[in-house]
Amino acid sequence: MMNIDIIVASEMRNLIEKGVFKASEKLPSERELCELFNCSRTMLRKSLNTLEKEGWIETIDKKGHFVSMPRYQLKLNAFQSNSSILNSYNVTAQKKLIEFSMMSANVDIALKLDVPLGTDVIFIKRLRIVDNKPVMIESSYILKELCPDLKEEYVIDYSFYEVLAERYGVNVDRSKQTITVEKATKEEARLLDIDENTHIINKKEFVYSDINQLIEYTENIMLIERFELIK
Amino acid sequence: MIKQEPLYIQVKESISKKINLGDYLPGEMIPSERTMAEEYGVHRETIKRAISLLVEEGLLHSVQGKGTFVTKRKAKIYEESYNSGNNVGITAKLKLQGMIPSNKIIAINTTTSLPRIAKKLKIRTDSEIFALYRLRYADGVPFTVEYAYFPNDILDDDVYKFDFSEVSFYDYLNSKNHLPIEFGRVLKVVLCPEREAEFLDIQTGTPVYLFEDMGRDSDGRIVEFIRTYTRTDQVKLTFNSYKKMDDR
Repeated sequence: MMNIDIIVASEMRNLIEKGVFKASEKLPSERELCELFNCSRTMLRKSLNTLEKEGWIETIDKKGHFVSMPRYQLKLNAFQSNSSILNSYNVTAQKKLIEFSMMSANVDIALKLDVPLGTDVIFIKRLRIVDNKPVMIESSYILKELCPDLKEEYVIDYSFYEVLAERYGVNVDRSKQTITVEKATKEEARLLDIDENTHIINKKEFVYSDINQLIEYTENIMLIERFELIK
Repeated sequence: MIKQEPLYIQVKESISKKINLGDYLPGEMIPSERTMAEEYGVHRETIKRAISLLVEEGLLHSVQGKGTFVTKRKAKIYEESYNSGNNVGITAKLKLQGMIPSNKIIAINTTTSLPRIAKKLKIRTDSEIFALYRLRYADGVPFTVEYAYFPNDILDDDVYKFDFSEVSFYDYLNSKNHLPIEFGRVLKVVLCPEREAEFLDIQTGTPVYLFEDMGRDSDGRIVEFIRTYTRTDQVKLTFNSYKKMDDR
């Protein structure tokens, strides 16, 4: 039924969306909120609990409840690079190169890129850091034949897709993506600075060029609370 | 005049429904024929006939000397694809994958207490909103809690005559010429709040997909706003992304 805590939680989301309660700011005290919504402390706490689970607010011990920063938006159906997503926000976004190596496609990668076993593949692993917090690990596997002299500097300093287009004449055009929610591995937890066994989003992407060639396979490991996908 | 179906068919449907709603779980033994005959107030023969139909359909299987059990189906991954421009409802999608969909109505009423929903529906804050809350199952396992909201003025009083645990709400909307055909969506992964965790039969704090979807009819009017919490262990999401036509 239309329980009080459902109504209060809904209205709090409304006030946050409207900017009445601003991002990063402390919420009014629980007593003030009870007065505002004309509800009991119990109902208010239930609503706050829901909002915290959904990532609208964060509770800092002894300090109180704070409105979370808005999530970074990934567009469904519109192809975009992670650089273009994160750079469009008024935040400091950095890329840290974790690994850049040549490999021969093993069974798993050969199947994913639809190439013969042993094909030369470039493996690039990067950590995306926004406002000094790591938010995403990108692991990319690209066919070496498309960019034979690819250098480390190209993938740190520039948008990789721009480099592919301008230097190698390979234009990315579309991708097929799948999303699953999994527990972070030890290595992922370390890089993202989260507890082991915390859940993360695993976004797998098959990227095609404008001549319908499968050119890249990536796995993006993302913090659950920092992203939303929109259409 | 409506002719009633034969007793054994009615009993079969009833047992089938219990399986779909999870009253009898996969792998569980159903009550003895004698017990069920008493429960339904019918002859044992009637129960036997109903059960043999369900065994034929693969929902039940008999184990010599032990009893009759609900058959475990292979776990299937329910794929939510963003690709279809058509409005393929959840029921249709599940059926396409050979899974049996079923619903339980949690609540149904009208309200003026949700200004955020009025805003999403683009109606006046004091307009009445029709709320339909449902729990959806695939093969008897709950996988989505759905909070659906509609502007009350696109519906008629006859909306209360239907059982939306059986009838498709989109069929009803279509009959009023307000079938949603264009959709907007915001998807987040969140930790499951307490109420929804209870419905979904998972622990509070387990990650779930939280969708907030909006649907427009052929006039371009927003006719629905739906919030759903979906188990991530049951659903794999896939979608295609394209560069816009005017991108260089």
